Amino acid sequence: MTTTRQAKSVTSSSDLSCIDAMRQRLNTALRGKQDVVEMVIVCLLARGHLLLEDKPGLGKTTLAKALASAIGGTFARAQCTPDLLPSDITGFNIFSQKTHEFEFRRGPVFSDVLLADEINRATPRTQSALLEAMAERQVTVDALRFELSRQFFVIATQNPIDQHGTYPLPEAQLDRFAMKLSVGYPEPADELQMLQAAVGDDESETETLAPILQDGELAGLQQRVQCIHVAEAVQDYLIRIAAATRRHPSITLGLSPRGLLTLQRTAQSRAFLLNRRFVTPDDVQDVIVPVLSVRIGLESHEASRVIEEVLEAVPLPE
Amino acid sequence: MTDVHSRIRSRVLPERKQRTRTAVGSGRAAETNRTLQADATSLRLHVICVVATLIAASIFTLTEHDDHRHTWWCAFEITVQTLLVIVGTVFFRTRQRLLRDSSVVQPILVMVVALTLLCEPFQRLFLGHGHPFEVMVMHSQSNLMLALAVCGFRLTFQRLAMLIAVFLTIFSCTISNAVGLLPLTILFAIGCLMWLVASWWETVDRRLVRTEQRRWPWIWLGTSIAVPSLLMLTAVGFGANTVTTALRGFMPSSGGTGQFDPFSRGGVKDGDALVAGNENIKSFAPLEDAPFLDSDKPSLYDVFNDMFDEPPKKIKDQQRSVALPADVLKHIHQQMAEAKQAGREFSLLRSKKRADKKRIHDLETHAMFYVAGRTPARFRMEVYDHFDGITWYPLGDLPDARQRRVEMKQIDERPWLSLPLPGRGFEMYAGSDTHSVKVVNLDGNVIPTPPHVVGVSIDRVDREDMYSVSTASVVSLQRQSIPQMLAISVTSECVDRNAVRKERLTSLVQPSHDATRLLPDDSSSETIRRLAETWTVGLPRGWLQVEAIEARLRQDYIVDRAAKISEDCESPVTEFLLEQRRGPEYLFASSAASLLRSLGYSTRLVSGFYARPENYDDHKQHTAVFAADAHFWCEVFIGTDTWLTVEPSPGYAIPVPPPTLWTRLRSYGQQLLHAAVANVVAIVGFLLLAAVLMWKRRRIFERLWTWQWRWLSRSAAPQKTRELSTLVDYRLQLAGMKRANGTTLKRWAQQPQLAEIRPLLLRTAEVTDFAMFGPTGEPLVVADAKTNERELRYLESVLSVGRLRGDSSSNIWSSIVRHRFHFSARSA
Repeated sequence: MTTTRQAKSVTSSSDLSCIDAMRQRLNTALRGKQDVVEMVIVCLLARGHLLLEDKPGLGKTTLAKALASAIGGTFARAQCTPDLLPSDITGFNIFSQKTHEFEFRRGPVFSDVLLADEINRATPRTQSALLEAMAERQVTVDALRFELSRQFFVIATQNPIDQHGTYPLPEAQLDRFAMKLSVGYPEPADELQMLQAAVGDDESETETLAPILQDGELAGLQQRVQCIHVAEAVQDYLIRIAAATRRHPSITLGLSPRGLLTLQRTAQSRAFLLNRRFVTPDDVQDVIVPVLSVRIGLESHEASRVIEEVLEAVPLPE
Repeated sequence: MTDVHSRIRSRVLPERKQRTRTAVGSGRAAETNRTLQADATSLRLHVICVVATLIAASIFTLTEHDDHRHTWWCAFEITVQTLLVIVGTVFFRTRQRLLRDSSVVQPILVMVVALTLLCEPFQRLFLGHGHPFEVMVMHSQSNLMLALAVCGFRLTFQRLAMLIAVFLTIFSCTISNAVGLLPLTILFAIGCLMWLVASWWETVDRRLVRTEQRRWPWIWLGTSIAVPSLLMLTAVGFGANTVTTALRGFMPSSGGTGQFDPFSRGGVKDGDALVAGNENIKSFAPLEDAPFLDSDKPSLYDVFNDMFDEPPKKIKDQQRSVALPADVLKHIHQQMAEAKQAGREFSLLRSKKRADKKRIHDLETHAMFYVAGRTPARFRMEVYDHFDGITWYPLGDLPDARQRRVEMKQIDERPWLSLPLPGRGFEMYAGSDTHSVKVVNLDGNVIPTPPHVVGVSIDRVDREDMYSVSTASVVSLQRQSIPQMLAISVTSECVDRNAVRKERLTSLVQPSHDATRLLPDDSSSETIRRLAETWTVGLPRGWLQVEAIEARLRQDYIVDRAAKISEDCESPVTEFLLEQRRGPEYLFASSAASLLRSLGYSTRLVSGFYARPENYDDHKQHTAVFAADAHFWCEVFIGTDTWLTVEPSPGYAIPVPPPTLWTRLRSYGQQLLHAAVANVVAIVGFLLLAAVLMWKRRRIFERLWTWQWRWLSRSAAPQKTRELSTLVDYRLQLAGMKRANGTTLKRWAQQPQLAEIRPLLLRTAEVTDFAMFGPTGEPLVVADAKTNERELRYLESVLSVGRLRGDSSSNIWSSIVRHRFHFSARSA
């Protein structure tokens, strides 16, 4: 019965196996959070950066580490504190006594996966340095430009409670993130599995797991995601959604053109993950909450309600 | 790693370049697409536009056939053009890409206009008939309008179509008064209003983001339009000559309806003001200024003006006349024809100016005069007081002291001869009537006036010594004859018989003067008195006795103009009353007068004319009065110089006051009720059918839609798949599971109530998503078209309303269909 051409495979079998393996790796690291894992992969393939907002101890760092190990790149972690300097993130020149020259010491942004833990505790200056690196995928130190890794991916975390001594990220800088996700507490059954798995488990094993993606494979996947077809009707739907966010009374900052591009890219990524070669309104609706949550400047619970209103107000493409 | 990157780059870059090149190359096309999208309209707006233009085209068709009265051909033409427009609209609406480019549409529109004009010579050559130029042009505009409406999926075309529709309707309403024009015009106005509102909101809708889904109150909107339309159609359909005429003149326009309206604008007036023509006056009549210009007949107006320093034209039979003011004289050099026929026809065939130089023939008529105004009406010409048993004699005027005092008044810049009415101490009169009388073949100087006349007006005749009013209120001109073609306006009061009946009027016994009470002094008088007493036994003296005698004569006797009384009869009245019991109206009038006189009332015989409603010309808006309409009736004296009309002849209406609005509405209601009772079976059947249709409208629509989808849609096309999605949506709505706004079918399928058919819904969503959002230019089907068609049909048949609702009974059918599908799929 399924004779239509849509059943034709979009991704190659190696792609599928890679993605499945990555999915499995992340689900093992973060149990019972398949939706979050799916969105993380969507964000990764869409060449976007991820902001995880949740309470401490819910597995944000674990997720970031597992992802880093899966994509086979280098992993770096920056624990953001008020005394963290921009050069601590980007790197700095140091005078070498041996060579009598300045040598550049690379900062953590030169990794493939960077975990910026509690980013809202860094000063705005440091935040700016990091966010510029995220947007441009390059850093400039002492008039020298350094390109970052092609698969540079930032997972930033922030704690919604305990706001004393924090510097909330301004909306303009939040726009650099593709998505904002909340991990949330796992279900009791998942917690039980987690406890059982932890008995006798050697934590160092996770870090020593072999990478799933070979060198350059992630870039290839990201390239193929960009080629996913987006019909004009769907683009029109995206534009109408953007217009609706700009006019909604509860939203102070509507979706920017950069946000619109991100929304389309993530929708493409979602379609790719579903092994489809074109984007449907379903894909847009699947990714819209995390994509818009990071941009419209609302609390998470309120953001979901407002986005729901926006979706109700915008007619589906016909 | 570098190798891998370079490989990827080398593979991807050409593709990007190609995309960029394509984007630049198709920039213009994209702009055109955007323009088209901005110009696109919804189906709802398009339907309103098509309906409105079809109504306008029907109005024009009615107007076009107004003169010929080819009802069936007219209905056929309307039906054909309606069907063509509907088919064309459906065809092009579903294939908009055919007409995306304006350069394709414009030649088609030009061709429609050109073909309409080019058909005319062929029609004239081979069919022997054609259209006048202006109708021909309007016909081409009508066709252009319909073609634009067909292409109305673009707002630009719709606007143009509506503009032409309004123009066409105004044109049609101006030149025609065809039956059915008014309701259609009202419907057209409603359609225009709906289109304006809908297009406005659609324009606003594009600029604003909807915060909530609009929901049109279709039921109430439909009901509010359908109920009045139904009533109107019932009225027009079942009672064209009774129901609709009951309200005629209720809201007359400023011209064309023939009704008098005191609030009509100046210029082209109507009713008694009539139409003034300057150049080609032969087409319009009756006219106020037509007859006296350059005619050798004795005229009421003197063409010689004191200010004009030349010898006057010699007219053989010069009578008394009124000097015309200078502003009128400037028109007298124009040659005029005598339009004796009081037509208000407007010929669509216009002759050129030089035609005026040819000899103009008079249009003859047999009418004595024409009346514009309410009918039936009596026009008094002569009053007889003395009766010797065989002959009636007019008494002549009484001394001046008893004559009615008259005076000239200027009302609305018109000179009016005012005749005051004596009061009777109670409100006897109920409204007044104004008639315009155009005298044609009436000899003598008596002006035909209704009873209780209170005003007479002839244009520019502002001297009261031009008139003469007799004791019996017969108005005449102080000259030998009334000029032909003279238009006279007369106003009269109408007596309310109910008011007279309530007052009893025992003072009827008061004599006017002796002659009006006298009966011949012979045995016949006694016979008549006994008969009168028999007829009025038990009734008090006064008006009730008068009515009793009038009613008895109207009931028991027959009007027969051929039944003359033998010449040797000594008492024709007795012969008529007791023996013959049939005869002409003068015998009825004489008998009534004699019977009433025998009871002591003062009566007199009146001769004149009876303007029959049957002679009313619906198109020319007047009533012709012929010689055969000469009539006799009698009047009874009720005191204070007041005489009331008694109509003893059956078949002649008893005078009634003009109907009030309430009376008219009541009459309309009664006529409607009668029509409804007469057609009760058809109406009940229609209502039942309408109720069933209304009740099951969604289901019927769904069935029709399904058939259309199955048999009319192109198979294996993405369009058909898209339509399937809409159809399933509609079925979900019917099943009470209407998809929430902004929710995709895939998400909606997650509803717990749809668990049973979730896979089918998901499959439908999958198929339709591909059709709607998949890459274009690639075939939908890999295997073959038939397989895909079969799958679509399978999904359509399985996702029935009952199944969506969760009815188990519908599963039987769906399982059968599924089985059939699987069977056919296997065999394929």
